[in-house]
Amino acid sequence: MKEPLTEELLDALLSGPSVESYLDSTPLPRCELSYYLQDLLAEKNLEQAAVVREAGLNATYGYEIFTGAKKRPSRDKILQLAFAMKLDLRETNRLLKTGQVSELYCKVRRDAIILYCIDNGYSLQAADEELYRMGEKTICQPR
Amino acid sequence: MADKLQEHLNSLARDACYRVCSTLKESEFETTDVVCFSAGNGAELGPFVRKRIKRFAGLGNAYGRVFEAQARGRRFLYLPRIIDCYNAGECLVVIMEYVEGATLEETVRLQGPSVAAARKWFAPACDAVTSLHETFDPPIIHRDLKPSNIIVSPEGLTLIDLGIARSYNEGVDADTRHFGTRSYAPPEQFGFAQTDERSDVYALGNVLAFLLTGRSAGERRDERESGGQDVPPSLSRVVSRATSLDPDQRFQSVQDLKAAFLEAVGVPGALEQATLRAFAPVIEPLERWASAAEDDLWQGGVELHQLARRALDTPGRVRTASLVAGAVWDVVLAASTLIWGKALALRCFDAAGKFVLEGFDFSSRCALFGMCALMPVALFAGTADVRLVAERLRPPRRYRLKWRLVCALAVVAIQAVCFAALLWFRL
Repeated sequence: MKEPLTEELLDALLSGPSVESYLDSTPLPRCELSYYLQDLLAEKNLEQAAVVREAGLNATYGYEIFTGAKKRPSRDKILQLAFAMKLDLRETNRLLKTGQVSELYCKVRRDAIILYCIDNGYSLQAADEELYRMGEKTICQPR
Repeated sequence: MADKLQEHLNSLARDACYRVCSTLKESEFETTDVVCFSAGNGAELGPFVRKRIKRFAGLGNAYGRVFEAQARGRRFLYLPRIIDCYNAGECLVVIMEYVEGATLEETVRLQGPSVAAARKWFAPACDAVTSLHETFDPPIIHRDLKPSNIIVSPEGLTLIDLGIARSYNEGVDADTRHFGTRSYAPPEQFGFAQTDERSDVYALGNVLAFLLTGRSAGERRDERESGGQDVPPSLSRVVSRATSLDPDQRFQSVQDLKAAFLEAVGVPGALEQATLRAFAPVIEPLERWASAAEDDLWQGGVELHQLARRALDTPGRVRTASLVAGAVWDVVLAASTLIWGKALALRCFDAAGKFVLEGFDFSSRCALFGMCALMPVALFAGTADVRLVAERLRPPRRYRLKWRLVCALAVVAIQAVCFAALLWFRL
């Protein structure tokens, strides 16, 4: 089921007859990183292993993020997952929020470049190339 | 590709430099401000209109397309020039020129709705919407056409607020989001079908109703008002067809609506224009000759008028001459009366009642005519300054010169005729 947007939910809440009926009628999005990731996988019909591979993450590390064992991955790791799952801007920002890191802010030059890449559907590699070209830190760091 | 990213970053850098002068509109989906661009040293450029539109459901897409078209060199007569259009986080920011002028709504409220107002503004409005539909493929449907979104300026009309405009998408059943202004939006915009060009036809029909009566057809339908006060039936039919609830009943394009409107309002349609064009080789020379003749007459009249003006207004010799001539004429007339003596005078008085011409010879008749009919006029005119004659007749101020001319010429003509007659027949 497509997750309703916040504004519409707020409208439904405010215009509904009571809080209980609202809570009963609409399922709320789950607020933890691992849960949200799994919801996204289900929604976009993606395979966890493929996504982890695409993101360039260590298989074990990726597994741990998805199960919730690793609770606070770094911002760049979350961005790698976002690119792998080809999330759009709102989903990326929500993912970052659930991961308890700062959202992408257009006034920060690096974030602006990443935003541009997300908007234009760049892959993770292309985004890293652009970041490197503009002299910013890339998302994937070599170990 | 490389340039676009740098351009994007430059636009974002410039974003911080806009100083808000005033806020025009604020809603949950968009904010519209009037801004000025401030350079580092305090210099400013502007004003511009900046719209921040929340990006979802493709809101504001139209601005991107128009911006790209303008960047490629396309000029739009009826759309504001978009200076910059970029994504700043979750908002689309559009910077465009500030179009001076009142909205169509304010203009019509001030001047009053009328057929004349429709005549003036409806056809350009149709052209404006057509440019949106036809310049782009797939066409951009405005979806928010209403009098407050049309700016009237001396150069013409401008359509603003493409905020909810969307591109027509083949094969989609309904719009993803339902926006619009209730009394101007067609039923399909509320979710029953996808909006297309005919939705704009519906909105334009409402705009026409507004131009004619001051309210949209939707509002009137709501309040169950009967047909328009001073709306001619032909225009009323155009409005009804354009605002049919079923899109298939409406005009299928804005051009059709415009043609129907022009026909209803009496502007020559295509057939009539074709006829005029066919007969142009005959009509045009005639028109030119007529206007040339008119011009010549007018020019001649003007020149004569100017000549007379110069003559009359110049003091000095001419005036003295006219006074002298008048005096001489009076002397001649008086002398001729004395010379001919009592005989004629007696006869004159005898014949005053009945016009018996047999006893008189031609010269006497002329003299009689001169003395009895014209002597008072000649005496009066000749001795007086010609200007005073005109003054005495008291014409309105702006015709004074013309009257002076007429009087002067008349007096001079009469004097000349009498003198000549007298001389000719006397001799």
